[in-house]
Amino acid sequence: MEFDPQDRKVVELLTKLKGTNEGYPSDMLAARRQAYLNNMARVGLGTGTALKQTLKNGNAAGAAPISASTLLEVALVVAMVAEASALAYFYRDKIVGVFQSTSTKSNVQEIASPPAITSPFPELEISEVPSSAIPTGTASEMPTSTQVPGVADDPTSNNNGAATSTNSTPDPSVNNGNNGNHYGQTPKPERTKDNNDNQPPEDNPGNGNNDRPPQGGKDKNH
Amino acid sequence: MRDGVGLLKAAKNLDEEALTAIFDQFAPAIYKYTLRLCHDQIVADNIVGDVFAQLLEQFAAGKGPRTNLRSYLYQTAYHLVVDRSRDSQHNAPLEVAIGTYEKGQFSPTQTQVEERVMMEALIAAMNTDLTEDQRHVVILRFLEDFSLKETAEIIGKEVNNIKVIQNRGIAKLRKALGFHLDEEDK
Repeated sequence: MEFDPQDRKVVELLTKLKGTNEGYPSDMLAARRQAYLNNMARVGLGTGTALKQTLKNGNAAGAAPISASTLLEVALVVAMVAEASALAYFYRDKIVGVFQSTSTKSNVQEIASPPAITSPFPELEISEVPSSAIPTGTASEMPTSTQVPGVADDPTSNNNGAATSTNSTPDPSVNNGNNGNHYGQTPKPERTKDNNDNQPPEDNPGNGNNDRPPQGGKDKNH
Repeated sequence: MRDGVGLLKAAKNLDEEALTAIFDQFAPAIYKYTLRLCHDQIVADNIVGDVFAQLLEQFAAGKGPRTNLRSYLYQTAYHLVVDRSRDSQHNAPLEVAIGTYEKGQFSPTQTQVEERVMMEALIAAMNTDLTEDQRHVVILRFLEDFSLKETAEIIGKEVNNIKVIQNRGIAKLRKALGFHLDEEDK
């Protein structure tokens, strides 16, 4: 590389500086060299003749440490698997018991699931309990468990499973004289003349048809 | 004695003799280079230890230099010096270098005295006027005899960039030594 004349003088001065620096002090160099040799041994160069021979034979530099670590790792894994297998063999009865208890627990839990209702009205089919007991129903799912205001139960009804709503109207013949203003139960006017054509309807307390309006719709006074 | 390639190949195979030979061959040079940069014998010695410790670790890991062992060692030393200078900003006096320039001479001649003055001025200019990069490039190029390409590899820059840094560094030194050069021309 070419330099200007003045630059060349600077370069010459710089090259003269090469020899100006003192050398490595012998004591420091010896100590450093010994430390370097110790470091070589620590890194693994002196860990075994066979290993060194293998390295000298041309293997890759890092192959031996890698293979040694791999071997160690494989040995550890094999030992762990063998230990686990031995423990499993010795405690096989307990392990089986644990699995069985686990499976039993699962069956109990299945049984404990909410019971299925086979019949929607079990009380009506099982026994002929007086209907008065039904309103007091404890856990009945029947719709009669909820009493309708103003509607009394008819103990004389014998419907055997028929809807109880048809007997909700009390029988006028059984009442205490206060029928209220229900349809067909109003106080009857006094009859002045018999008329066979216009017979009033007979209340039959037993037929369950008490709410039928009077037939013909004609005035009885005619 | 093995050549550079054979020595490096044997060292990569963790040959003990080769590794020892590498230390014996390059440790003094690395020490001198480091001492020029940090001006402290203890620090230079520690850096030499670190350089060769890293070399051993790289060889043990299957890494390390492939072609130019000398550049690799100087590159490691360069990075260690830069790291230390960043940590401590330590610049020892230059007397370490200049004090031993004429060691053992009791009655220097006139020429030697003038040359010593020039050297003192040059070293002072290198330490005060040059930037870090310029100082590294000048030392590697003219004191350690590395090529432009090798210097670029060590510092981690492009060759053209190294050229520019070198020319600017020399220009600064010339400017700093201008008085002495003019006197010498007279």
